Amino acid sequence: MRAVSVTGTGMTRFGRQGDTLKSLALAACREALRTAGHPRIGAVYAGNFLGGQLAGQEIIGSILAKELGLGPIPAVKMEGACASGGIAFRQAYLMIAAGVYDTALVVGVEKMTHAAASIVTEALNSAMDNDSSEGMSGLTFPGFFGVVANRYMHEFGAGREHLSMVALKNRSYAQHNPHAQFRKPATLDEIQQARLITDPLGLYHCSPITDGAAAVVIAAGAGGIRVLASGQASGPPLMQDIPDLLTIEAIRQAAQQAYAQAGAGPEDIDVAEVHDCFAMTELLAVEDLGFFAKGTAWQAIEAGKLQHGGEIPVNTSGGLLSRGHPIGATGVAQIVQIAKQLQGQAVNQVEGARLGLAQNLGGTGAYATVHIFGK
Amino acid sequence: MEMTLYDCEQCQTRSVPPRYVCPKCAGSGLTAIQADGAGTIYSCTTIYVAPERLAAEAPYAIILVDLDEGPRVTARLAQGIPKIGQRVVFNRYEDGVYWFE
Ligand SMILES: [Zn+2]
Repeated sequence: MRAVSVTGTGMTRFGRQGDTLKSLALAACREALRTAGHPRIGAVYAGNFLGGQLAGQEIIGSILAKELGLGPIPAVKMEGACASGGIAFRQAYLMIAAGVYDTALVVGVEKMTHAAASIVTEALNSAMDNDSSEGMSGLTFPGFFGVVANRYMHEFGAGREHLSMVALKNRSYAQHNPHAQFRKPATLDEIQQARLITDPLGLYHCSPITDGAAAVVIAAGAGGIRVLASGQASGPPLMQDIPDLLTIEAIRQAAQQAYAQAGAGPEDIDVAEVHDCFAMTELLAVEDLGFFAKGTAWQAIEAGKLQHGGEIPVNTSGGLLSRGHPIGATGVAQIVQIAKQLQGQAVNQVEGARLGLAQNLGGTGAYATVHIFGK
Repeated sequence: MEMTLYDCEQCQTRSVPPRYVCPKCAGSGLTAIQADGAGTIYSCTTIYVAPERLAAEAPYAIILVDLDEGPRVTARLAQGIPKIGQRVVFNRYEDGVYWFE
């Protein structure tokens, strides 16, 4: 396999935007191409989940190749629910590593805010196995992580305030990120008192509905931020089929692959972006990535170990909770933040960061990707 | 009320219909059996923000039940606020949804 590097990055502001799916993706792509020095692109990989359902727009890969004047090159859209971006990146990476292409443009994009919350919730539910009684039951994604959170608290002695501490940390980071959806400071009390979405998760414990796009250019060679590893795994798409509800096995599997490829372990990672679609998910992710033992992440957040000055700063972009979660864009936006951390040019820069990790999740743990980067 | 479960002919794993294959061994030989439908709530939530088709029913309780007969099933609790460890019993299967009380 050949060496592969990230040579350009770009992203739009996340939040409520008047733009279209196409214009958001174009803006992120133009910035990524410009920062990469306008190389000749071999293929386009687009990560997108709800374009068909919410924006009535498919074939986004081909549209971008045309609009960006990239020529008649291959283009494709990858779908893996909230992991669409991470999967698109991985497929592009593998093709370059294998020598099929020398460069690729990877973009993640979603346009969601024009639709009502109930319509978006219904659309998001297409990331469950709906040919099942569970799909019919009325379980939602917040509901799934609410069920997980109640059991996690019951089993390990965590409190609802630990979920709030995750939300508070990520909001504090987002305050310094000009691309973030929520930059207004919040207090622990405000987070605790906010209206319930699904017991025990309140408004601040859930990622928002977001418009946005992020893009990277990757190329063969070592002339950029090196992609050291790419792991991916699948897990049960139904809650009732998950053997251990408090472990996201797909994250564990993807992480093990990635650590083996990188010749590194969780203790070597300096900075990480993890998939905090809900505050609960960040706690599970940092356990399943091996940063903390199972059942102890709530103690780690309380002790300040997931932030600057602690063991590993997590979600320095503000995470999905506060930077925002435009579904298909999220996995690529995480990679943009890690690349910038390793370039020494990130918001909430971690001094001297040499190894960074990005972890993206889809569905109830149905898909997970883990990528490791080095400078 | 009696509840229909599947028994895998190959590995004897019990599962909750509808299914096309055994969740353990992927075998397609599933025999319907009758079970008494009693179980314990493993975990639960009350959903306040519902998908469009269920908006009128919110808030409603979702429970994850460990059935005494083996499998775990995602279901609705007919009434009340669910608690982990609470004993529940199958009430009905309606429009593709399992209801317990
Ligand atoms: Zn079987």
